[in-house]
Amino acid sequence: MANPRIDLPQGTLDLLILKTLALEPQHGWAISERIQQVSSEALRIQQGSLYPALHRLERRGWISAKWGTSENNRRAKYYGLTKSGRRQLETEESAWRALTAAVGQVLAAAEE
Amino acid sequence: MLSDLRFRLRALLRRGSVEAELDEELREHLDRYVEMAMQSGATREEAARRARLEFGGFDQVKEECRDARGLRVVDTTLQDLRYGFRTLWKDPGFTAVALLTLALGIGACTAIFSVVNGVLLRPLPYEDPERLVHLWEDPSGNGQDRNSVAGAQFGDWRLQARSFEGLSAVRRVNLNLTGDGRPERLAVHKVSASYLEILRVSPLLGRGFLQEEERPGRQYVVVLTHGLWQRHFGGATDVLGRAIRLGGETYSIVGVLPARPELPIECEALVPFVLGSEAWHRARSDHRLRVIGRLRSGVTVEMARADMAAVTERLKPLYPPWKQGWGVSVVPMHEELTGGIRRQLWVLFGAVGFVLLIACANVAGLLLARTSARQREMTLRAALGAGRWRVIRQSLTESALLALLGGALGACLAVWCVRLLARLGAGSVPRIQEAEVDPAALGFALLITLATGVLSGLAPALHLSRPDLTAALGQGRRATRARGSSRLRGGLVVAEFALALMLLAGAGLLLQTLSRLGAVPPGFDPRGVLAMDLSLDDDRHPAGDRRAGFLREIFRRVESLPGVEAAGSATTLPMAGFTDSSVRAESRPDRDEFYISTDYDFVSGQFFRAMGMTLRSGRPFTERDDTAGAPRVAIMNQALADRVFPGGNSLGQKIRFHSQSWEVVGVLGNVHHRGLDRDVREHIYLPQVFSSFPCSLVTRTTLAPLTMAEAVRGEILRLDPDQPVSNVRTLEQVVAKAAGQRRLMLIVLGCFAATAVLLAAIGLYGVMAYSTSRRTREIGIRMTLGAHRGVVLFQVMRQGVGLAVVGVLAGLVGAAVVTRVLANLLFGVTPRDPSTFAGVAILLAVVAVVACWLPAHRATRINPVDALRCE
Repeated sequence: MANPRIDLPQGTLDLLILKTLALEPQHGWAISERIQQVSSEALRIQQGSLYPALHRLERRGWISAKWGTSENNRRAKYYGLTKSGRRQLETEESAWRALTAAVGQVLAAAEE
Repeated sequence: MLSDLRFRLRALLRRGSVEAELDEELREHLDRYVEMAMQSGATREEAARRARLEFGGFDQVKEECRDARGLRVVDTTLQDLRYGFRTLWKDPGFTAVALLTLALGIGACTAIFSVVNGVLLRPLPYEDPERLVHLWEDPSGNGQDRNSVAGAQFGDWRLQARSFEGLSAVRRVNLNLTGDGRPERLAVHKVSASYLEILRVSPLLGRGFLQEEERPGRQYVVVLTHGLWQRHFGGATDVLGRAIRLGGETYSIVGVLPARPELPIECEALVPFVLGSEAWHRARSDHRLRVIGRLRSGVTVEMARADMAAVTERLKPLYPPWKQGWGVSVVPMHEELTGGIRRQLWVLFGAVGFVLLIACANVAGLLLARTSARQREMTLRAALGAGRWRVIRQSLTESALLALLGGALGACLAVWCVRLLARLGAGSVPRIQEAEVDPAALGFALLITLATGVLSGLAPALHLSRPDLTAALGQGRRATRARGSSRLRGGLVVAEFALALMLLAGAGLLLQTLSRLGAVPPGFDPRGVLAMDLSLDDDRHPAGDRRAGFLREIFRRVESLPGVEAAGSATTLPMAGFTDSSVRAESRPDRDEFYISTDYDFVSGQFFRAMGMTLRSGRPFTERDDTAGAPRVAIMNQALADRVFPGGNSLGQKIRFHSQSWEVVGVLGNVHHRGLDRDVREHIYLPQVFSSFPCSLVTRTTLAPLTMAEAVRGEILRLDPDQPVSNVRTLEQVVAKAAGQRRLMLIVLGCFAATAVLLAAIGLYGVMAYSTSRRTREIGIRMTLGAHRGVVLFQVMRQGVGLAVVGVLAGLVGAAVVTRVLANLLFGVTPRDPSTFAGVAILLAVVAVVACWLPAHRATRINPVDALRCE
């Protein structure tokens, strides 16, 4: 494996998936590709944990699934954000920002 | 939350398509990965391998997805259920015993609950039933006693009491229905016009009574009950306005009542009660009425009691001197109807709870024994990674399954039991006809089924889930686990025997009670006596000589029948009610302290001979005594004679009764008129000619009494075709009915005790069988080494009998505490009667010895070589 991968802290996978789906519905493959892309290859999702996460999110009612045709004419399951999903995204996003800000502050202070 | 459930439901119901979708989705993803890898130059196989590595195990991911979808719980539960079914099916002996045990326990509990629910818990079937009350006169003055109400009292209460929407008198009379086919004697209630309104019962046809029909001359209207309407009038819809002859008068039918709700006191027809139409209506000392009422809305029973106390104070100046201390009891109707039986039913409820506990303990013991045998399987599971919770859950599922199946069987058993109980308790338990296995009872059954499942499954489940891996997987079966399990089972046996002993003690005390009652000499001979009730209508048989003559003619004809020894009549039969008044020796001054309270009866014919009552001194009544103009004579019983003429001869003396002078011509031996369990009361007998009450005909027969019933009835009809009789029964039935409640308690409690003993014995047998089977080798060695069979037998049995003895001792302590609840049913024994306790303890010990002996005996009979070879 060439690229050193950053280990995702617990629970952030959900946040990334929700954010990725905020723009438009996508299928599982596209989601993982997009996250890789947008993070400039720094984040690579463990394939085996992507789908359980998707199904979990579907069960919680934050994303909904629909079967459709993908860009290469194959059947694929498209996931999209629901209204409650959008609300959840906002909550998680602000929580993440608050957390990283606080951690950043502590680290910055320690360096002084 | 909701979407979560919806999701899971969909996952559950559309399994197939959900699975297929998951499969397709993941495969798609894999394929794309492979494509991408191939594009960057890898071969197909290399790409596929990399894809699988990346993915991390296809099936494992699928499993995780399934988990995420929340199917796991459902999956594992279904798995457990299937496994449970298979295990039960494979071991039919165990399953049969366990199911039967559970069915007995759950069924009995549900049946008793149905009875308690129908009789005690369900409200009466009238609107706002908690506002219905009964009013009684109260001799004790503190609200404890209940005495019938005097006519004048009722009139005043109606005028002065302010707490009631309405008050109605209820007076039971027996009237002959004649002129319309076969004559019938009906139980009729004379009631006030407000009676139906108070109960809020609307007639099915026609109307109730109008206010003006309570006035003399307007009261010849009748309302039929549904039962009478169906039975005698065939349910004809044109019955309104028809005239019928009741008690010699012509009544017009104005209404028919619906089948439900039934009237609180059973009767066949209603006629208006005209206050003032008879002399005793104006007296304050002649108590013959029942009074019911409905409280005004917003008025509580306490307020009504205060109100009635105030009314009583205002009326006190009008009371006779001996009644000055009397008060009024206001009793809610529900309590009035069911109060007498309340305690007994709750006792039965507790008792059946014991039976259920024993059943649970037995099933728990069976499950424990079985799980000990499955030790290896369980530890294997644990070794393969099953969590402790999983193992517990699986065990609980099995016992829950067992419980549910047993519960279903039990519910069916309960339906049958309730019907049986309704039939047994028909005379002695009020409202028992309303007991049925309804949704409430089924809900209760479900509840105890689940509780039973958890209870009986808990011990084995907890026990199982702590496997000692190495020891159990090893060959030797002497794992310490087993000892823990058998200690638990031993504890269960002790508990079972304790509970069984408590039930046996209760049943034993009741048995003693009934036997002591049976040993009380009633004062008459109830064997071979036929009884039937007669009402004589005034128009054809006016009171006085004509009536006395008619009765004498009946006796003459009946006595001429072959098989009849003697015939007579009385106004009340022993143990079938009483009427009381007071007498005074004429030589004493007319002051209250010289009046002795006494029960009284009017008799004629050869009543004493027919009843087998013996005269101590003097003579019985003759035909001459029974004529209107003859000098008045009376016969006292010994108790009354002793009180009115203490120490002296009462024959020839004069007494005052009902303001007349009577001469005592005979003294009768004492009769237990009010019941075998009560003391003998003072009693005076007078000739029939001086009474207008209905009477009961008694006939002593040499053949079985009931076989003579038609012949006797025929003679009477031949004499007067319009003269019906009713309530044909034998005197033995009357005496037995008096003990009806106790007998029912004994039967039910006895069944529980028998079931409990059986279950406890089975439990002990199971424990012993298991323990001896494990010690077969040891026993074999012992016997090979020359130990005497009897000694070995004793040593093997010692453990089991020891358990039972501990249980019996604990049970004795428990029984000493618990049997108090039966105190008011007992007669001739105390709740802690030592002989009864000793007797049941010995009985149970013998049962225990037998239960232990059987498996031990079998074990010692084994060929020692086989025993050594075993294991």
